[in-house]
Amino acid sequence: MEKSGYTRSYVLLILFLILMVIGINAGEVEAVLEKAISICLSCIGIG
Amino acid sequence: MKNGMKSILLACTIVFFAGFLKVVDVDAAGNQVMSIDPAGVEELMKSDNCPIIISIVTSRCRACRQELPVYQAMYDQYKDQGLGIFVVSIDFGYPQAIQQIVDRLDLTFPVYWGGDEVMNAFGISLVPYKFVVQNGEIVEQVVGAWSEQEIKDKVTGLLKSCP
Amino acid sequence: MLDIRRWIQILATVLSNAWLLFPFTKTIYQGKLKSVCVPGLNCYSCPAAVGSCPLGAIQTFFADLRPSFASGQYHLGLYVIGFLGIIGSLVGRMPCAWACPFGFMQELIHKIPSPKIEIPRIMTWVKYAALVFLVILLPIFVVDFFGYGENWFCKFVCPAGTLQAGLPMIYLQPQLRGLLGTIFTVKLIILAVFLVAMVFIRRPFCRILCPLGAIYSLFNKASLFRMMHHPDRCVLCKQCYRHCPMGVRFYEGANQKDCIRCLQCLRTSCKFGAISYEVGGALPEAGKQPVKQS
Repeated sequence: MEKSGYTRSYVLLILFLILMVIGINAGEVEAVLEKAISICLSCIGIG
Repeated sequence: MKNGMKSILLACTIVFFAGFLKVVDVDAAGNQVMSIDPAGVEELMKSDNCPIIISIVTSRCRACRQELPVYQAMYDQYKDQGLGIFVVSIDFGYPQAIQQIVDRLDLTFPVYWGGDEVMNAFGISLVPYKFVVQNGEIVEQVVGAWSEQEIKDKVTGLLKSCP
Repeated sequence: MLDIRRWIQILATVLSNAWLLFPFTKTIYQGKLKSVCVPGLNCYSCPAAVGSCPLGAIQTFFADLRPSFASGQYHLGLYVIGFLGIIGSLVGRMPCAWACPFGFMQELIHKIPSPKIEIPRIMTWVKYAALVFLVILLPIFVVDFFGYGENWFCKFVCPAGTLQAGLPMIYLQPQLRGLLGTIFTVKLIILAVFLVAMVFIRRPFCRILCPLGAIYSLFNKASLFRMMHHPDRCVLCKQCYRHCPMGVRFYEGANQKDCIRCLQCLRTSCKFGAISYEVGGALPEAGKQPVKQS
């Protein structure tokens, strides 16, 4: 059974981990919260 | 999968550059959005105007934005008869987003920024949300947008029952 | 005795929708937990939801790019992209099978006895179009006078949103009934079509339209958790296909885009030890199915 091919998994994992950390540092956590708790009616197809 | 990686990276790149395409100009000379706290909103409700419409909005809410020019028209026409229109943005964190909208539409009625403090204080979860106030009392709380005609009918109707 | 996966699905559904006070508050949960996304498709406008929908969150980031930039907020949605990428590179499309409430519901509805039908394979590509256009390109590039885009998928399509948010909110807040227009009617029709299709077709929404599944599926061949197919042991009995909740023909190869790693084939279908999984190159005990005599 071939054992190779998992390097890309780790590379992807680290890449996306970095992206997420950048996002968190840019203040996106609060932005997600904002959009999830003040629901804009026109955004969900009502009104 | 190489293709998967490529398409994800491509998507990220597109997103990144798209942000630079059109940046809205901020005109500092016009109507400045003022900060307000929940107590301030209560004060607005007690102000001398009659009737008062307080519209709670967020910048990203299309229905909220669409109401603004109609409010402006109503304000221009009826402010001398006592109509008070106040828009309070509950955008989190910063007033710049609502300021851009105010500048783009050249709004002249008072627009405030209350942030999540106002949102929590009044228990608002759906926008647009409106308080209709007459003689210091909230007579109506409305979830959702009004059409242009509804706003006109509302304002003219309310003006009749004000002293 | 319920299958372990069912328990986890029930747990995920309950945990994603744990705000059970909504009949009293008449509105959504507004706590801090909503700054975190859940792995499955679970509308954050649902009155019971305690987490954010990653798909909804990413669309709003894309739609708000220009005004955010103009306000000095350089938000690209990397928090959500990173979150999805981390899950994807760990387990690929596994959340669809184990943590997605909408997927769970589709499996339950499919249990209703009826003649079952299969969809043409070409239809399973539609979700990538939905991802590219409704989630990424249209929200970014179709902007109004103020520079705001729309979250196209949430607004015009998402049946999970209609079911979890639209209908309950209309019930809880009668004022909203006056606002319903064409868009909502269209969304109701989409929901109804999928609800009916769920009876006859295995997980139709996941396979045909779900952009979140489409995102995770890109990682299937690159994730740390990978399914393995052993052609030397496979007798092409196609039992794996028969039992697969996604209608994947596993015998044609492991880690296909619609494989949601539910392990149904491994645990109940394959009697020949032709299916296993490995994690990061290591073969766990559970993956080593002894060859059963048939």
